[in-house]
Amino acid sequence: MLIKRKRGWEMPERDATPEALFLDRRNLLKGAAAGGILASAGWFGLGRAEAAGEPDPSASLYPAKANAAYALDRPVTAEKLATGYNNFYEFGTDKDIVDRSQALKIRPWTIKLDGMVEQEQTLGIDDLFKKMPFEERLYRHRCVEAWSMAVPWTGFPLKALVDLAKPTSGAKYMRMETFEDPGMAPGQKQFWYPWPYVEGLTMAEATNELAFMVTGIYGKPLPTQNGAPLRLATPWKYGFKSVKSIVRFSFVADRPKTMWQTLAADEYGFWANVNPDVPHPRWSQATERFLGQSGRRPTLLFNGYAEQVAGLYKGLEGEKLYM
Amino acid sequence: MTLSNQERSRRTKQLIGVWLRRVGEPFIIIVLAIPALQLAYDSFWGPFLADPFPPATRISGIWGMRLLVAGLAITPLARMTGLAAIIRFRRPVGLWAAAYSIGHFAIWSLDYGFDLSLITTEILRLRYLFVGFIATVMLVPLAATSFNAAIRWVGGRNWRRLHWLVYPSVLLALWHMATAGRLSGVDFTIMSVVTGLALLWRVARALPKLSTAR
Repeated sequence: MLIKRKRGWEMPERDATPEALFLDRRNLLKGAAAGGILASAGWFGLGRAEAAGEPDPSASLYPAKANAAYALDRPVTAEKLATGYNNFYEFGTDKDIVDRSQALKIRPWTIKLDGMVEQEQTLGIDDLFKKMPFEERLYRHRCVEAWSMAVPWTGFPLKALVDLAKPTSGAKYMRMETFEDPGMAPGQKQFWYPWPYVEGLTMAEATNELAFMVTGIYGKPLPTQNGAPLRLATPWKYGFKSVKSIVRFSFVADRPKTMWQTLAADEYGFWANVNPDVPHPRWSQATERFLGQSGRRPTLLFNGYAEQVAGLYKGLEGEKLYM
Repeated sequence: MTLSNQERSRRTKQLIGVWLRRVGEPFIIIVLAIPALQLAYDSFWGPFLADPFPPATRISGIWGMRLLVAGLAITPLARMTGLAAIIRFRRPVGLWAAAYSIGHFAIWSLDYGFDLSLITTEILRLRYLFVGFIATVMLVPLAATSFNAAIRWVGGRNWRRLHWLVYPSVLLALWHMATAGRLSGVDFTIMSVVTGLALLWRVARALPKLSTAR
């Protein structure tokens, strides 16, 4: 029997974003870019980093060309919601960490590629950016807490970074680590959390076309609260997998233990794939609250990306894939 | 005219009592509405706008819990300080505790669109929800019988018996809070300690009566 697995760009017509909406989105982004220019002039005090007179060194990368293969079945979330409602425990356990996260210094920033690689590398973030193919993608984002959004991320496929790192054949997993600096991030003074934040993917997941390294949002460099200067987006998994402000990628043979596993292994596992039928121990995952909309909408298996990623989990049915 | 110290202290207490009744009680009634107003503002126009249900559920629950425990502490405080007049704060505090707790349940239910079958399934599936639900349900008859007419109608003795329900309700609510998730450590510790002390005080007072009755 022929089993045809659809690729990301082979989506049914019904899933395509209506042209009017798509065109309007570009206008919205242009408008947002214009807003950024005004802010850099310090007119409205928008965008603190720009207003401080320190233009982001990667600003010239934006806006990147949109990859039309990654469209959405829903409108994009308003920018002020996606950039104002953030889980970033390094700066506090509430969602309102925008102001506190401004303390994060995102330059200079170095990225370490180590572990089972041909040669360990340490790169300045802007040197890394120069080697990477930038594009913009529209992705759904589903938090394990049952809220969701749809965001235009800018960045490059994680596969491009893996290719740059040249892992050896022994590497089975990729371990990702957030910066650790309690001086900048007061949350890291809370000793009962096992800092730094660690997440991981299998090599198959990391080289899947959907795994995306994010550097920007809404056609602009990432603000600190969204995980500047480099974060992960794995849209078929719960949001806590999408580690923020990464400093280190290690290629390893054994499955890394993530921070959330260390904290609560019975609630937050390694796989954390979105599945409406597998509830969190304390709440249902069947539906979600889409930021800016009232009421709930049904949650989709693999957050709507089953066609692209379900195949990654063949033979892993014995694992707790959905927590 | 010279007054004995005893007489002076009696008069002071009387004066405080009058003030507590005339100013204190309306003050309490109004002040305890502030968290609800603040929550409404934050949810509709303020920082919770993006996703109001989680914070609204959490904050309403915490206030229900705080006031429930505060209500439990009033009687021991009144007896120990000799300020019997603060007993009258029990009713507004208790009513607001019930209002915040029922509101907490209503907000949680609204998050699920008041979908009755879904709400029932969740309450039966998750123990902490079941425990919290029972704790809230127990407060309903207490709130409903808090008016003078109701007290007269039920009769003082029965009323007192009925209002014993507050003890299991507080304990279940504490259990609910402890297992509902990322609890506020400070809040929970204070509430547990106050509840423990208030219960101990009542047990200590009841013990001699029980032994003499034998």
